[in-house]
Amino acid sequence: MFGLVCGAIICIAISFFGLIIKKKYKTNYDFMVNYSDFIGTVKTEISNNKTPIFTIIDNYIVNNTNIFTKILKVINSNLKKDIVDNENYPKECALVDKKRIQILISDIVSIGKYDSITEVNKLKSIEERVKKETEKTETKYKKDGVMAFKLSVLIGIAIMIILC
Amino acid sequence: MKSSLKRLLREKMCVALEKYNNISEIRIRCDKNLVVYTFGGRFVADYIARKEDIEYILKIATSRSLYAVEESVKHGYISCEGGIRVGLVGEAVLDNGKLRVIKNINGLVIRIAHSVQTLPAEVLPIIDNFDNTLIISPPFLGKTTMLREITRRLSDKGNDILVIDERNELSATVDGKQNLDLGSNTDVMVGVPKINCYEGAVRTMSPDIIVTDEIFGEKEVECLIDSVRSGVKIMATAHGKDIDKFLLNKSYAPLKDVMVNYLLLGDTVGAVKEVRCNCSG
Repeated sequence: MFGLVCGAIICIAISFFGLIIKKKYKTNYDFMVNYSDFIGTVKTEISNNKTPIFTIIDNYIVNNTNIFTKILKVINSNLKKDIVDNENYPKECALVDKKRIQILISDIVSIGKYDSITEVNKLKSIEERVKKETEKTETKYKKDGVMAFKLSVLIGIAIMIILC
Repeated sequence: MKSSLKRLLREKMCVALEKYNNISEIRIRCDKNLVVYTFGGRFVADYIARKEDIEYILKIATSRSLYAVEESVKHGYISCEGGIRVGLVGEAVLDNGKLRVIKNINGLVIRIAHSVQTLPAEVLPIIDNFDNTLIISPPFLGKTTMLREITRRLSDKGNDILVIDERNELSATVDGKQNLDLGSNTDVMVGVPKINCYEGAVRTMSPDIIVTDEIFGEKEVECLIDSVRSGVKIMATAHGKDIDKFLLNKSYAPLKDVMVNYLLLGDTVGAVKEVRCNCSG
Protein backbone atom coordinates (compact mmCIF):
# COMPACT_ATOMS: atom_id res chain seq x y z
CA MET A 1 0.00 0.00 0.00
CA PHE A 2 2.83 2.33 0.98
CA GLY A 3 4.56 1.56 -2.34
CA LEU A 4 1.37 2.38 -4.26
CA VAL A 5 1.00 5.74 -2.50
CA CYS A 6 4.68 6.60 -3.05
CA GLY A 7 4.43 5.49 -6.68
CA ALA A 8 1.33 7.63 -7.22
CA ILE A 9 3.00 10.68 -5.69
CA ILE A 10 6.12 10.21 -7.84
CA CYS A 11 3.93 9.62 -10.89
CA ILE A 12 2.05 12.88 -10.25
CA ALA A 13 5.29 14.75 -9.59
CA ILE A 14 6.94 13.52 -12.79
CA SER A 15 3.77 14.17 -14.80
CA PHE A 16 3.61 17.67 -13.35
CA PHE A 17 7.24 18.20 -14.36
CA GLY A 18 6.31 17.06 -17.89
CA LEU A 19 3.33 19.40 -17.83
CA ILE A 20 5.59 22.31 -16.96
CA ILE A 21 7.91 21.43 -19.84
CA LYS A 22 4.92 21.32 -22.17
CA LYS A 23 3.67 24.63 -20.78
CA LYS A 24 7.08 26.18 -21.36
CA TYR A 25 6.99 25.15 -25.00
CA LYS A 26 3.38 26.36 -25.30
CA THR A 27 4.18 29.69 -23.63
CA ASN A 28 7.11 30.30 -25.96
CA TYR A 29 4.99 29.35 -28.96
CA ASP A 30 2.18 31.71 -27.85
CA PHE A 31 4.77 34.40 -27.21
CA MET A 32 6.08 34.06 -30.75
CA VAL A 33 2.56 34.09 -32.23
CA ASN A 34 1.83 37.32 -30.38
CA TYR A 35 5.26 38.70 -31.28
CA SER A 36 4.48 38.08 -34.94
CA ASP A 37 1.08 39.75 -34.59
CA PHE A 38 2.65 42.72 -32.81
CA ILE A 39 5.30 43.26 -35.49
CA GLY A 40 2.55 43.13 -38.12
CA THR A 41 0.60 45.77 -36.20
CA VAL A 42 3.67 48.00 -35.87
CA LYS A 43 4.39 47.68 -39.59
CA THR A 44 0.81 48.59 -40.52
CA GLU A 45 0.64 51.50 -38.10
CA ILE A 46 3.93 52.99 -39.27
CA SER A 47 3.15 52.42 -42.91
CA ASN A 48 -0.40 53.84 -42.80
CA ASN A 49 -0.43 56.36 -39.97
CA LYS A 50 3.18 56.94 -38.92
CA THR A 51 1.98 56.39 -35.35
CA PRO A 52 4.74 56.89 -32.74
CA ILE A 53 6.01 53.60 -31.31
CA PHE A 54 4.88 54.33 -27.73
CA THR A 55 1.34 54.99 -28.92
CA ILE A 56 1.36 51.77 -30.95
CA ILE A 57 2.49 49.78 -27.92
CA ASP A 58 0.02 51.54 -25.58
CA ASN A 59 -2.88 50.71 -27.90
CA TYR A 60 -1.66 47.14 -28.39
CA ILE A 61 -1.43 46.56 -24.66
CA VAL A 62 -4.95 47.87 -24.08
CA ASN A 63 -6.44 45.61 -26.76
CA ASN A 64 -4.64 42.38 -25.77
CA THR A 65 -3.97 40.68 -22.45
CA ASN A 66 -1.49 37.83 -22.44
CA ILE A 67 2.06 37.08 -21.32
CA PHE A 68 3.48 38.85 -24.37
CA THR A 69 1.65 42.09 -23.62
CA LYS A 70 2.64 41.88 -19.96
CA ILE A 71 6.29 41.76 -21.05
CA LEU A 72 5.64 44.47 -23.62
CA LYS A 73 4.12 46.68 -20.94
CA VAL A 74 7.29 46.43 -18.84
CA ILE A 75 9.53 47.12 -21.86
CA ASN A 76 7.37 50.10 -22.84
CA SER A 77 7.42 51.65 -19.40
CA ASN A 78 11.22 51.10 -19.19
CA LEU A 79 11.85 52.71 -22.56
CA LYS A 80 9.73 55.71 -21.61
CA LYS A 81 12.18 56.19 -18.74
CA ASP A 82 15.08 55.52 -21.13
CA ILE A 83 15.86 52.21 -19.41
CA VAL A 84 16.55 49.44 -21.91
CA ASP A 85 15.96 46.45 -19.61
CA ASN A 86 15.59 46.02 -15.87
CA GLU A 87 14.28 42.42 -16.11
CA ASN A 88 11.41 43.37 -13.85
CA TYR A 89 8.88 41.09 -15.51
CA PRO A 90 5.85 39.50 -13.80
CA LYS A 91 6.36 35.99 -12.37
CA GLU A 92 4.15 34.30 -14.98
CA CYS A 93 6.59 35.47 -17.66
CA ALA A 94 9.37 33.28 -16.25
CA LEU A 95 8.61 30.49 -18.73
CA VAL A 96 9.47 32.71 -21.70
CA ASP A 97 13.07 32.33 -22.90
CA LYS A 98 15.06 35.38 -21.81
CA LYS A 99 16.79 35.37 -25.18
CA ARG A 100 13.45 35.95 -26.91
CA ILE A 101 12.69 38.89 -24.61
CA GLN A 102 16.12 40.35 -25.37
CA ILE A 103 15.47 40.04 -29.12
CA LEU A 104 12.05 41.72 -28.67
CA ILE A 105 13.70 44.59 -26.76
CA SER A 106 16.39 45.04 -29.39
CA ASP A 107 13.73 45.02 -32.15
CA ILE A 108 11.69 47.70 -30.37
CA VAL A 109 14.78 49.79 -29.60
CA SER A 110 15.80 49.61 -33.26
CA ILE A 111 12.46 51.10 -34.37
CA GLY A 112 12.18 54.85 -34.80
CA LYS A 113 15.62 55.88 -35.97
CA TYR A 114 14.79 56.22 -39.66
CA ASP A 115 12.12 57.47 -42.05
CA SER A 116 8.94 55.43 -42.54
CA ILE A 117 10.04 53.73 -45.78
CA THR A 118 13.23 52.42 -44.18
CA GLU A 119 11.35 51.42 -41.03
CA VAL A 120 8.73 49.47 -42.96
CA ASN A 121 11.42 47.66 -44.97
CA LYS A 122 13.24 46.83 -41.77
CA LEU A 123 10.02 45.62 -40.15
CA LYS A 124 9.36 43.35 -43.13
CA SER A 125 12.62 41.54 -42.48
CA ILE A 126 11.88 41.38 -38.74
CA GLU A 127 8.44 39.97 -39.59
CA GLU A 128 10.03 37.28 -41.76
CA ARG A 129 12.48 36.33 -39.03
CA VAL A 130 9.77 36.22 -36.35
CA LYS A 131 7.54 34.14 -38.63
CA LYS A 132 10.28 31.55 -39.13
CA GLU A 133 10.98 31.49 -35.40
CA THR A 134 7.25 31.06 -34.71
CA GLU A 135 7.15 28.05 -37.04
CA LYS A 136 10.15 26.57 -35.23
CA THR A 137 8.55 27.03 -31.80
CA GLU A 138 5.29 25.55 -33.09
CA THR A 139 7.11 22.43 -34.27
CA LYS A 140 8.98 22.21 -30.98
CA TYR A 141 5.78 22.59 -28.99
CA LYS A 142 3.86 20.03 -31.02
CA LYS A 143 6.72 17.51 -31.09
CA ASP A 144 8.93 18.03 -28.05
CA GLY A 145 6.42 19.64 -25.70
CA VAL A 146 3.65 17.11 -26.18
CA MET A 147 6.18 14.25 -26.22
CA ALA A 148 7.82 15.43 -23.00
CA PHE A 149 4.45 15.43 -21.28
CA LYS A 150 3.48 11.99 -22.59
CA LEU A 151 6.89 10.61 -21.70
CA SER A 152 6.78 11.98 -18.18
CA VAL A 153 3.34 10.46 -17.61
CA LEU A 154 4.59 7.10 -18.92
CA ILE A 155 7.71 7.26 -16.75
CA GLY A 156 5.56 8.17 -13.77
CA ILE A 157 3.23 5.24 -14.39
CA ALA A 158 6.22 2.90 -14.90
CA ILE A 159 7.77 3.99 -11.60
CA MET A 160 4.45 3.53 -9.88
CA ILE A 161 4.12 -0.01 -11.27
CA ILE A 162 7.70 -0.83 -10.23
CA LEU A 163 7.11 0.45 -6.70
CA CYS A 164 3.89 -1.49 -6.40
CA MET B 1 14.56 75.97 -16.63
CA LYS B 2 11.24 74.88 -18.16
CA SER B 3 10.33 71.29 -17.26
CA SER B 4 9.69 70.44 -20.93
CA LEU B 5 13.23 71.61 -21.72
CA LYS B 6 14.65 69.61 -18.83
CA ARG B 7 12.98 66.46 -20.12
CA LEU B 8 14.66 66.97 -23.48
CA LEU B 9 18.22 67.26 -22.16
CA ARG B 10 20.57 64.86 -20.43
CA GLU B 11 21.13 65.53 -16.77
CA LYS B 12 24.73 66.72 -17.22
CA MET B 13 23.61 69.27 -19.77
CA CYS B 14 20.81 70.47 -17.50
CA VAL B 15 23.34 71.03 -14.72
CA ALA B 16 25.55 73.06 -17.07
CA LEU B 17 22.58 75.20 -18.09
CA GLU B 18 21.14 75.71 -14.63
CA LYS B 19 22.83 79.07 -14.13
CA TYR B 20 21.13 80.66 -17.11
CA ASN B 21 17.73 82.25 -16.64
CA ASN B 22 15.11 82.83 -19.34
CA ILE B 23 16.80 80.69 -21.97
CA SER B 24 15.37 81.39 -25.41
CA GLU B 25 17.73 79.34 -27.54
CA ILE B 26 20.42 76.67 -27.15
CA ARG B 27 22.81 75.87 -29.98
CA ILE B 28 24.30 72.40 -29.81
CA ARG B 29 27.11 71.41 -32.13
CA CYS B 30 28.88 68.08 -31.94
CA ASP B 31 32.16 68.34 -29.96
CA LYS B 32 31.69 72.08 -29.40
CA ASN B 33 30.65 74.13 -26.40
CA LEU B 34 26.98 74.83 -25.98
CA VAL B 35 25.90 78.34 -26.93
CA VAL B 36 23.02 79.74 -24.90
CA TYR B 37 20.85 82.70 -25.77
CA THR B 38 18.84 84.31 -23.02
CA PHE B 39 16.95 87.58 -22.93
CA GLY B 40 20.16 88.93 -21.47
CA GLY B 41 22.40 87.99 -24.39
CA ARG B 42 24.62 85.22 -25.80
CA PHE B 43 26.73 82.95 -23.56
CA VAL B 44 29.12 80.08 -24.17
CA ALA B 45 28.35 77.36 -21.64
CA ASP B 46 30.98 75.26 -19.95
CA TYR B 47 29.81 72.03 -21.55
CA ILE B 48 31.01 70.29 -24.69
CA ALA B 49 28.19 68.56 -26.51
CA ARG B 50 28.81 65.02 -27.70
CA LYS B 51 27.11 62.86 -30.30
CA GLU B 52 25.33 60.99 -27.50
CA ASP B 53 23.76 64.25 -26.30
CA ILE B 54 22.37 64.91 -29.76
CA GLU B 55 21.12 61.34 -30.10
CA TYR B 56 19.46 61.58 -26.70
CA ILE B 57 17.68 64.82 -27.57
CA LEU B 58 16.49 63.37 -30.88
CA LYS B 59 15.25 60.26 -29.12
CA ILE B 60 13.22 62.27 -26.62
CA ALA B 61 12.08 64.90 -29.13
CA THR B 62 10.75 62.26 -31.49
CA SER B 63 9.48 59.88 -28.76
CA ARG B 64 11.79 57.28 -30.35
CA SER B 65 9.83 57.67 -33.59
CA LEU B 66 11.69 59.75 -36.14
CA TYR B 67 9.39 58.47 -38.89
CA ALA B 68 6.40 60.06 -37.11
CA VAL B 69 7.88 63.52 -37.62
CA GLU B 70 9.70 62.89 -40.90
CA GLU B 71 7.79 65.60 -42.76
CA SER B 72 8.93 68.27 -40.33
CA VAL B 73 12.44 66.73 -40.27
CA LYS B 74 12.51 67.28 -44.03
CA HIS B 75 11.94 70.95 -43.26
CA GLY B 76 14.72 70.83 -40.71
CA TYR B 77 12.88 70.89 -37.39
CA ILE B 78 10.95 68.90 -34.80
CA SER B 79 8.21 70.38 -32.63
CA CYS B 80 8.19 69.23 -29.04
CA GLU B 81 6.08 69.62 -25.94
CA GLY B 82 5.93 73.01 -24.29
CA GLY B 83 6.40 75.00 -27.48
CA ILE B 84 9.97 73.89 -27.98
CA ARG B 85 11.26 73.60 -31.53
CA VAL B 86 14.41 71.67 -32.35
CA GLY B 87 16.13 72.72 -35.57
CA LEU B 88 18.36 70.11 -37.20
CA VAL B 89 21.43 70.03 -39.41
CA GLY B 90 23.10 66.95 -40.83
CA GLU B 91 23.50 65.02 -44.05
CA ALA B 92 20.61 65.06 -46.49
CA VAL B 93 19.42 61.80 -48.04
CA LEU B 94 17.87 62.44 -51.45
CA ASP B 95 15.41 60.25 -53.31
CA ASN B 96 14.87 61.22 -56.96
CA GLY B 97 16.22 64.66 -56.19
CA LYS B 98 13.80 65.16 -53.28
CA LEU B 99 14.90 65.32 -49.67
CA ARG B 100 13.93 62.04 -48.00
CA VAL B 101 15.45 62.48 -44.58
CA ILE B 102 18.32 64.12 -42.73
CA LYS B 103 20.81 61.60 -41.35
CA ASN B 104 23.91 61.89 -39.16
CA ILE B 105 22.44 64.90 -37.40
CA ASN B 106 25.36 66.78 -35.87
CA GLY B 107 23.86 70.08 -34.83
CA LEU B 108 20.70 71.23 -33.09
CA VAL B 109 19.13 74.56 -32.31
CA ILE B 110 16.61 74.36 -29.51
CA ARG B 111 14.24 77.33 -29.51
CA ILE B 112 11.97 77.82 -26.57
CA ALA B 113 8.80 79.63 -27.45
CA HIS B 114 7.59 82.18 -24.94
CA SER B 115 4.06 83.36 -24.50
CA VAL B 116 4.17 87.03 -23.66
CA GLN B 117 0.81 88.32 -22.49
CA THR B 118 1.70 91.97 -22.71
CA LEU B 119 1.84 94.10 -25.81
CA PRO B 120 3.34 97.53 -26.49
CA ALA B 121 0.77 100.32 -26.21
CA GLU B 122 1.19 101.17 -29.91
CA VAL B 123 -0.29 97.80 -30.89
CA LEU B 124 -3.49 98.06 -28.87
CA PRO B 125 -5.40 100.36 -31.28
CA ILE B 126 -4.77 97.83 -34.06
CA ILE B 127 -6.51 95.15 -31.98
CA ASP B 128 -9.40 97.45 -31.08
CA ASN B 129 -10.12 98.20 -34.70
CA PHE B 130 -8.57 95.32 -36.57
CA ASP B 131 -7.84 95.37 -40.27
CA ASN B 132 -5.24 93.67 -42.47
CA THR B 133 -1.93 93.88 -40.63
CA LEU B 134 1.64 93.08 -41.54
CA ILE B 135 4.34 92.76 -38.88
CA ILE B 136 7.81 93.36 -40.30
CA SER B 137 10.89 92.57 -38.29
CA PRO B 138 14.47 91.38 -38.56
CA PRO B 139 14.93 87.83 -37.22
CA PHE B 140 14.92 87.17 -33.49
CA LEU B 141 13.10 90.31 -32.39
CA GLY B 142 9.86 88.67 -31.32
CA LYS B 143 7.56 88.98 -34.32
CA THR B 144 6.13 85.46 -33.89
CA THR B 145 5.57 86.06 -30.18
CA MET B 146 3.77 89.32 -30.96
CA LEU B 147 1.73 87.68 -33.71
CA ARG B 148 0.69 84.96 -31.29
CA GLU B 149 -0.40 87.40 -28.61
CA ILE B 150 -2.35 89.63 -31.03
CA THR B 151 -4.02 86.47 -32.38
CA ARG B 152 -4.97 85.35 -28.88
CA ARG B 153 -6.51 88.71 -28.03
CA LEU B 154 -8.41 88.98 -31.31
CA SER B 155 -9.68 85.44 -30.87
CA ASP B 156 -10.83 86.04 -27.31
CA LYS B 157 -12.71 89.09 -28.58
CA GLY B 158 -14.90 86.72 -30.60
CA ASN B 159 -13.23 86.71 -34.02
CA ASP B 160 -13.08 83.33 -35.74
CA ILE B 161 -9.42 82.96 -36.56
CA LEU B 162 -7.66 80.44 -38.73
CA VAL B 163 -3.94 80.10 -38.13
CA ILE B 164 -2.01 78.56 -40.99
CA ASP B 165 1.00 77.28 -39.09
CA GLU B 166 3.21 75.60 -41.65
CA ARG B 167 6.24 75.27 -39.39
CA ASN B 168 4.26 74.74 -36.19
CA GLU B 169 5.88 77.75 -34.57
CA LEU B 170 2.73 79.58 -33.57
CA SER B 171 0.78 76.80 -31.91
CA ALA B 172 3.55 74.27 -31.12
CA THR B 173 1.06 71.47 -31.72
CA VAL B 174 2.18 68.02 -30.59
CA ASP B 175 -0.09 64.98 -31.07
CA GLY B 176 -2.95 67.31 -31.99
CA LYS B 177 -2.63 69.33 -28.80
CA GLN B 178 -1.75 73.03 -29.00
CA ASN B 179 0.98 73.90 -26.54
CA LEU B 180 0.66 77.65 -26.91
CA ASP B 181 -2.53 79.59 -26.33
CA LEU B 182 -3.92 81.14 -29.49
CA GLY B 183 -7.31 82.04 -28.04
CA SER B 184 -10.69 80.42 -27.67
CA ASN B 185 -11.92 80.97 -31.23
CA THR B 186 -8.86 79.87 -33.12
CA ASP B 187 -8.51 76.93 -35.48
CA VAL B 188 -5.03 75.84 -36.41
CA MET B 189 -3.87 74.11 -39.57
CA VAL B 190 -0.45 72.68 -38.88
CA GLY B 191 2.25 71.42 -41.20
CA VAL B 192 0.49 72.06 -44.49
CA PRO B 193 2.35 74.09 -47.14
CA LYS B 194 0.79 77.53 -46.83
CA ILE B 195 0.04 78.16 -50.49
CA ASN B 196 -1.98 74.92 -50.64
CA CYS B 197 -4.09 76.01 -47.72
CA TYR B 198 -5.54 79.48 -48.33
CA GLU B 199 -8.24 78.64 -50.87
CA GLY B 200 -9.54 75.61 -48.99
CA ALA B 201 -9.38 77.47 -45.70
CA VAL B 202 -11.52 80.34 -46.94
CA ARG B 203 -14.09 77.97 -48.42
CA THR B 204 -14.38 75.44 -45.63
CA MET B 205 -13.54 77.29 -42.44
CA SER B 206 -14.97 80.76 -43.29
CA PRO B 207 -12.68 82.56 -40.86
CA ASP B 208 -12.93 86.25 -40.01
CA ILE B 209 -9.15 86.50 -39.93
CA ILE B 210 -6.37 84.36 -41.38
CA VAL B 211 -3.09 84.48 -39.48
CA THR B 212 0.20 83.29 -40.87
CA ASP B 213 3.85 83.63 -39.99
CA GLU B 214 6.74 84.57 -42.28
CA ILE B 215 5.19 85.08 -45.69
CA PHE B 216 7.58 84.24 -48.46
CA GLY B 217 7.47 84.82 -52.20
CA GLU B 218 5.05 86.01 -54.85
CA LYS B 219 2.79 82.96 -54.76
CA GLU B 220 1.98 83.39 -51.11
CA VAL B 221 1.38 87.11 -51.55
CA GLU B 222 -1.08 86.26 -54.35
CA CYS B 223 -2.87 83.79 -52.07
CA LEU B 224 -3.12 86.41 -49.31
CA ILE B 225 -4.54 88.99 -51.71
CA ASP B 226 -7.07 86.45 -53.01
CA SER B 227 -8.15 85.76 -49.43
CA VAL B 228 -8.68 89.48 -48.83
CA ARG B 229 -10.75 89.66 -52.03
CA SER B 230 -12.90 86.90 -50.55
CA GLY B 231 -13.69 89.13 -47.60
CA VAL B 232 -11.29 87.65 -45.07
CA LYS B 233 -8.95 89.82 -43.07
CA ILE B 234 -5.33 88.82 -42.80
CA MET B 235 -2.48 89.21 -40.36
CA ALA B 236 1.00 88.10 -41.29
CA THR B 237 4.65 88.59 -40.51
CA ALA B 238 7.65 88.99 -42.77
CA HIS B 239 11.37 89.48 -42.46
CA GLY B 240 12.53 93.05 -43.08
CA LYS B 241 14.21 96.08 -41.55
CA ASP B 242 12.26 98.88 -43.15
CA ILE B 243 8.62 99.15 -44.24
CA ASP B 244 9.32 101.13 -47.42
CA LYS B 245 12.24 98.99 -48.50
CA PHE B 246 10.19 95.89 -47.85
CA LEU B 247 7.35 97.13 -50.02
CA LEU B 248 9.77 98.08 -52.81
CA ASN B 249 10.54 94.41 -53.24
CA LYS B 250 8.77 93.21 -56.38
CA SER B 251 7.39 90.13 -54.69
CA TYR B 252 5.81 92.01 -51.80
CA ALA B 253 4.79 95.29 -53.51
CA PRO B 254 1.21 94.04 -54.24
CA LEU B 255 0.62 93.91 -50.50
CA LYS B 256 0.40 97.72 -50.55
CA ASP B 257 -3.07 97.37 -52.05
CA VAL B 258 -4.46 95.29 -49.22
CA MET B 259 -2.48 95.96 -46.05
CA VAL B 260 -3.90 98.62 -43.72
CA ASN B 261 -1.58 98.45 -40.74
CA TYR B 262 2.15 97.94 -40.68
CA LEU B 263 4.13 97.24 -37.54
CA LEU B 264 7.89 97.45 -37.72
CA LEU B 265 9.78 95.83 -34.84
CA GLY B 266 13.33 96.72 -34.00
CA ASP B 267 15.99 97.94 -31.59
CA THR B 268 15.14 95.48 -28.82
CA VAL B 269 13.12 92.28 -28.55
CA GLY B 270 9.39 92.98 -28.81
CA ALA B 271 9.81 96.75 -29.19
CA VAL B 272 7.77 98.54 -31.84
CA LYS B 273 9.88 100.86 -33.96
CA GLU B 274 7.17 102.16 -36.23
CA VAL B 275 3.42 101.87 -36.66
CA ARG B 276 1.98 102.92 -39.96
CA CYS B 277 -1.64 103.06 -40.99
CA ASN B 278 -2.38 103.00 -44.69
CA CYS B 279 -6.05 103.79 -44.44
CA SER B 280 -6.45 103.95 -48.20
CA GLY B 281 -5.32 100.27 -48.42
